[in-house]
Amino acid sequence: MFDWERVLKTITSLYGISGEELSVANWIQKEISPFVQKTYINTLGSLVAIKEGVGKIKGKLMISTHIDEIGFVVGAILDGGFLKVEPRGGVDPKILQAQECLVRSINGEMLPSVFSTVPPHLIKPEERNKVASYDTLILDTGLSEEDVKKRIRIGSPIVFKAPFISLLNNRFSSKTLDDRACATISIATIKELTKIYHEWDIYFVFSTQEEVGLKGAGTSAWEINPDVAIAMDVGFASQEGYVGLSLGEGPGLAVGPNFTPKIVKDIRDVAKNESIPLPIEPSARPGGTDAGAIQVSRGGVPTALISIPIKYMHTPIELLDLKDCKYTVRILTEYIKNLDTEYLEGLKWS
Amino acid sequence: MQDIIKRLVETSSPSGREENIQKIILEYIKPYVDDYHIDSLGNLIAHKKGNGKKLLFDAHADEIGFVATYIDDNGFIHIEPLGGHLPVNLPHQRIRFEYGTKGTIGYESEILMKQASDRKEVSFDTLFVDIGARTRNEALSKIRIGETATYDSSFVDMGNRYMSKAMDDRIACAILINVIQTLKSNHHDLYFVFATQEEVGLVGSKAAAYGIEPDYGIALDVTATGFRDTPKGAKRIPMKLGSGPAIKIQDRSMIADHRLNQWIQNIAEESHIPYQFEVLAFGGTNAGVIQTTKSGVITTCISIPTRYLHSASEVVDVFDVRHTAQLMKTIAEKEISI
Repeated sequence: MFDWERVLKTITSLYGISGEELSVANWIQKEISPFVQKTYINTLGSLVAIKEGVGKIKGKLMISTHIDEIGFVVGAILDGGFLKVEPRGGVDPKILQAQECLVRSINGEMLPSVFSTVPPHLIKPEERNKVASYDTLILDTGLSEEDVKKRIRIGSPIVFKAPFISLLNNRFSSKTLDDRACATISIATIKELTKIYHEWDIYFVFSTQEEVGLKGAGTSAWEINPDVAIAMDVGFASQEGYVGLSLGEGPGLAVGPNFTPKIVKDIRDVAKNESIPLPIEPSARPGGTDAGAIQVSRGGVPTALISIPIKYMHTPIELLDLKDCKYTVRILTEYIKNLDTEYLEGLKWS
Repeated sequence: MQDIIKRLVETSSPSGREENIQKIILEYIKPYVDDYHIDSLGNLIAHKKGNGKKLLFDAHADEIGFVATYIDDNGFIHIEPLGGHLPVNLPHQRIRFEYGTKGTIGYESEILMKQASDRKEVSFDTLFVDIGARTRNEALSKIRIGETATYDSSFVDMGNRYMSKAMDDRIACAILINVIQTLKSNHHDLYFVFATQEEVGLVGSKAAAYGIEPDYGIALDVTATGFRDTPKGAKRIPMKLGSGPAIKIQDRSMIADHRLNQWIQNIAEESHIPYQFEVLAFGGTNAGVIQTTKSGVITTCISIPTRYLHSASEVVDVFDVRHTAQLMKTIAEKEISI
């Protein structure tokens, strides 16, 4: 049995903001090496794992999940040793006040720190409704200016420090479920594939720098040159003020001009045949997932996107339901079973 | 080097019209490179052979400018920006059109009054260029629709600092010319790209990098300065004039490769070249597109701190210029190990 909670808890606890993902890639590499034929880390740091198929004329399926997380870097060191930060990836500054973070020092120690906030007593009435911005926020390590200058420099990476919370009924809340929940699904799928017969070579890409412009997935796709690609990322679950996917009722399958109809249909058919819930996620624009960069690699790649519903995206308390992850492993595995020479031939436009 | 800088910044050559500047750069570098060519997007690509991996140095040759879109009944020329302009900075700037006509950017009192409450009132919708024409016909005889223009501004030697339009990015072009002319030996197989159309979307560099397929890429561009440079400068910007070249950590286009940055930091320290780090909340450079070329390129950017970016009076410090040239030369001489 795949120990979801162990893997999710460990993988979300690793620190790897965009551009600094090596420790995450290394951990996953160790976890999956026994189950695949080859793993390597490419130029921009993405981990590629190849699970070879047994077909004679075989295609290449790329499954992409990103392993970077949103965070910050030290932008400037102010008098007194206080830090100004710049986001790496999209973090809403409104959620940051009184948030605990870790700053990686020049020597690699993870230094505790907190984002400043003004006590309610001291907020002037006219400023009650003002919200924090990167212009006003300050990160405080509690260290003296002298100490800060010795241990921290401009560009030092900063990550959220947040607990992994096991909620009731197999729901979990943590930082970095975006997108390491999907990386976990890839790991689980790799293990599942060792039990089945499949013809195609499956390239699992654990991509870097998704949050700053889909960089690892695009360059990996160029290198791999896949016949079909499936990106997996988190999608918006319904929450106050938004109607979207529903937690626990299946992953979303993106439908829209940027997802190849044939691949979308084939994945849908698989889910239907196996009676796995797979709601449609309408997507009028390419959106900000790896699928967008993979699709336009080289001469173009038939691409689909599967979304795991989460709430509170891009915060330290992202929340998911494990059922959706398990459904996704089954969908991927069943889809991969269908990939043969005929499927490869069928990709040609007629 | 000052003469070269002066000539480069005073040349008018906005995005898409880089022929003038490329001709001048070529003149300076031709005797010193093994081969060169101008590619289909107008990039000037020069090559100094080496035995090591391919290393690409990039500076963009274009400058921001304007393009004439419409001439109204009063004989005023209406313009659109080529590259990023903040309209509120433009009133009463002199500009020079491609075929020599000069004018000043004007706006009317009504707009001036509204501007007090809303800066957005000053925009390319309300600004126009007055070339002194009395009638539409007179204007039509001097300006063609689609004709480009740049700031009409000249080089000023301020002693320790230089001021001009187009320091962005001709100062980097001048530095690369200096590297090409004075480099004695290079380990890496070295490509110099004088890229086109950076200001309108990193267009030239993307194509050049695709053609060259380098192992390492280093863009050379200008960056902003903040509160350490001028007291009321942005608290989020640590860079300042006179503290040496800035090693880029990140901007909106790229997270620099931290291993390459570490190597550059090490060689700067060994060679006693001053440096600073750069984190920029806005903007991007050619490094952003070099990095994602094909299967990816190990990339960073070195920046020359510059005041009043994208204005007619960009100011750089000679100390930074000299040390940036020294740093780029040191990088070119050594073998990158990461």
